[in-house]
Amino acid sequence: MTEDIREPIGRVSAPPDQESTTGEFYFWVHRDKTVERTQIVKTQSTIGPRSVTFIAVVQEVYRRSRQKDVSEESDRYDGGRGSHPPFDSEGVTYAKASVLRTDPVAYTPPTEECEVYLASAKEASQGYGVDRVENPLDVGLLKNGGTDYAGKATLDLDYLLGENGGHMNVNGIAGLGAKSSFLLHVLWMLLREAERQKRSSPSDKNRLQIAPIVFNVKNYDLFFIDMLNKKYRDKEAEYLDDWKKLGVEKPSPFREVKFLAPQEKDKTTPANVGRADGAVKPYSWSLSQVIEQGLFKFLFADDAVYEPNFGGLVDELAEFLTNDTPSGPKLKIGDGVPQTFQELLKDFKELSPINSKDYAKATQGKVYRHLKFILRQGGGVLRLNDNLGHPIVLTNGEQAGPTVIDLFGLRMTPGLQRFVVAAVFHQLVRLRSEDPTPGLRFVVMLDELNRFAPRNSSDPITQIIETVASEMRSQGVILLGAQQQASLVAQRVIANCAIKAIGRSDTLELGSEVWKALDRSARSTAAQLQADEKLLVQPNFREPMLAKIPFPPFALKKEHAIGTGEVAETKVAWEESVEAAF
Amino acid sequence: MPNDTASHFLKKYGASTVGDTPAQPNVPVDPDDADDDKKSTVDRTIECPEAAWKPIIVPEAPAREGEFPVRFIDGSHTGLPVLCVRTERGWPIPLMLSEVGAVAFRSVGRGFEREFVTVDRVLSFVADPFPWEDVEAFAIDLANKPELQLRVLPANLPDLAQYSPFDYEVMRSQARARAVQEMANLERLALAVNRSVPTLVDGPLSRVTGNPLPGSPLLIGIAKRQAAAYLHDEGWRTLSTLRPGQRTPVFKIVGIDGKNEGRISVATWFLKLSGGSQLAPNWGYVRVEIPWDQFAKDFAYEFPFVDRLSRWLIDARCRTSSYARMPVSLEPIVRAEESLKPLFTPFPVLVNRLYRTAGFFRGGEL
Repeated sequence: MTEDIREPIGRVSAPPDQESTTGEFYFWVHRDKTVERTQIVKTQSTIGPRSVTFIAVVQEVYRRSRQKDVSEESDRYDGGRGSHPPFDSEGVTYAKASVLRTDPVAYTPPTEECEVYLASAKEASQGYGVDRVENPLDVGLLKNGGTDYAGKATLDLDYLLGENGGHMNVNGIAGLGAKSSFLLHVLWMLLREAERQKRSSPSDKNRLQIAPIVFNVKNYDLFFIDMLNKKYRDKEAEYLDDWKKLGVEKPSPFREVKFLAPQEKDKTTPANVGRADGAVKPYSWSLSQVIEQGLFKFLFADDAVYEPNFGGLVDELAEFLTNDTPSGPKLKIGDGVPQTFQELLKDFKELSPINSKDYAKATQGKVYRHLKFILRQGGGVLRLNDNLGHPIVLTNGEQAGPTVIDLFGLRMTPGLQRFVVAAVFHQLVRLRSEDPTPGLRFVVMLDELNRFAPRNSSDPITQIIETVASEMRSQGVILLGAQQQASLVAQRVIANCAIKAIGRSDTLELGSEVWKALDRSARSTAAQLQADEKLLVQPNFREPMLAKIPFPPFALKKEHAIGTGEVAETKVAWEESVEAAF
Repeated sequence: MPNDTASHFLKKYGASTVGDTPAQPNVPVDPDDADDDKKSTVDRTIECPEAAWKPIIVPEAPAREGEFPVRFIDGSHTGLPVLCVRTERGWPIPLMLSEVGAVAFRSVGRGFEREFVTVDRVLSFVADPFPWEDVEAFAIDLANKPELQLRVLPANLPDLAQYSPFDYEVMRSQARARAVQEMANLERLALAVNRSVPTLVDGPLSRVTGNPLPGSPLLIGIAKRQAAAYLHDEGWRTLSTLRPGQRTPVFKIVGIDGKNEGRISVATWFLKLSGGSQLAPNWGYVRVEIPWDQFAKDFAYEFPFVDRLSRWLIDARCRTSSYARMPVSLEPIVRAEESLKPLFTPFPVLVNRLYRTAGFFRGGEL
């Protein structure tokens, strides 16, 4: 056994009812030392012929007095009537630690009386298996108690981007602004890593390439992520220190961001998101573009579309409108086929599938009413009279910055929001299925998953998100999802997320089935997290990793944005940051 | 002697396993009570005439520097007879396996630090009836077995004019007395390691010290067992009516030189630490001792000093009601004991190791 020159903080204890196991052990703490929950510790035992190192994370810290019950505690002070015992009780502090790793691998507990040390940054990192990770991504600082850090909090890209698993999900209560912020932070670090690889191995076809798509669901907050955050600048010295510890010398806002907002009704302009610099482009679809992108059935984003009669008629209608050509589906011309949504509504009853008498009047009426409803709601996004709109067309290649697609402007029409989400995912599925680019990952960020993929729902939008979560990670479509309550999100979506990040969450939510995998200590920690803290759960972590996430340099709402004039500066800062990463 | 001399000795003398048995009649005086030597001379007129004895209320004046202990000595003994051998004459000789230890605790601020500790494993028995070379070989073998590291302590042969050598209980008592004496030896060692500060010893002072040098730091003994009758009738009446925070007048127990080595004269008094409606009248008090020479010379018969020390002891009383001897215990001593006991090997483990060494299988026959 090698001798450790650090001062031990305590020793392993294993009395009855607190025995060491292969998963956890207890240790008492020296009087003059402090141990905090979430600290990472190390101990070494000689077990049989070999020495085994255990790295563990402190799950809970206990203090036990020398008294047997509260009466004795009171008696020491004679019931509090001014009496003061001459000696302190001198209880004992002890902690319960969960084993993160043994080296060499050993399915045996540490033995009692072994010295326990605070882990070094290297040991902490080994505890979470970072030394075995081939494609690491540093996302934060590994918390080691209340105020200290034990190096970087590192994720395994093989679990995030589809090699061994895929997707990331964030859960957290509203109001802390920690879900979107964290997902954007991960996106920022991913883009930076992709840029680093691009510079170091430009000709490597398998290098990491990212095409990020960000759905904006709350206010127009994410339309300013290319601008510096005023709050960041106000305390730059403090926040920069965290970034530097993470290896980022000069964090900057996102660059080369594309902004798309719903086209306004009867206009060619996008919804007013609060920017006047022309950076925001409108999106909309005409009937012909809905057919070309195979989105017709998503207009009926309802469970009804999977009823045999209703769904059958919708399919027949789509088939009637579609002309399959070698270059893809097109809107059929002639034979009385309507060329706009308005014509579709007007001629609906005259269309041949409707007149085929294969469907009951009630079914025909139901399809018509659904169609009419969504088109009326469609406002400017579904162009009633236009032959062409501005559909969202995703590029099948890496992007230097994210494409932000607004859904907030459609907040009054949830059906239309779901249509846009489906249109994007449908396009991604098609791109990745038909013409995949090696190394390219479409990373889609979507908040409020409980609205777009609610639990126990089987509507087409939920199904497509479920498909993305369960089948598309291997083809390079990665979902960065978030919600306040994972228990209200489709199970397949949550279950297929390899990496889960937990921000401060409601205790009721943490008691639900979906969080049963977390032990009591982790749930307790999750209920008390600070806004800048996340519990990271990755399949190869034996215990969740508590990370501090540096404060974002990019604006997360208009009020915090410092003008577009600094875009050029952003680019310089980004490049300096990437340079520093080498 | 063969290589495994321990086993050989035990086989040769017909060892059988024994356990704890209730004390039998005809038990000799327990050596723990030896301090209560009825032959001691007692002077009960030190603070007041014998007829004027009455409870004295201990005032709340705090003890001054040098008048209260900052170091605390406690010993501990765990042991049972585990084997019994027979001499050639057929005398049953129990072998008492014990672990003995002593600890010195020092108060630092409002807490304590363990300043010194020693623990020893011993096997005591009346060894005189056995050939010395057999005993010596047996002792060397046990001491050299790493899993045992057991030290043999030969106990005195009982007074055969008074007791029958065939009486198992007499032999057991002798073996126990030797182990207890060894514990006292360790306490002496713990005391001797540092005599630069006032020290309190758990038990009568005579067990662990002779007369301290003039001007040396205060020594205090706390006797919990009260077997001897030092008091006259008025004294008993006074003792039985003591209320918590009261003491008896100071009296003097004159030591006996020569025959009882190290017995020193002490100034002593009874102090009631605890009381209550459910406490028997003979429970809840301790007898405090300080060397007579220190009381007479260093403190010049100062009874207010007795009061101040008594007040300190009352304040330092054990307040842990779940501790069985709480009414007669001081917290520093309880803590010292708590610090010493965990260093002992679990007794069944020691017994099994000895049995294995002796060639016993599961405590059965050889």
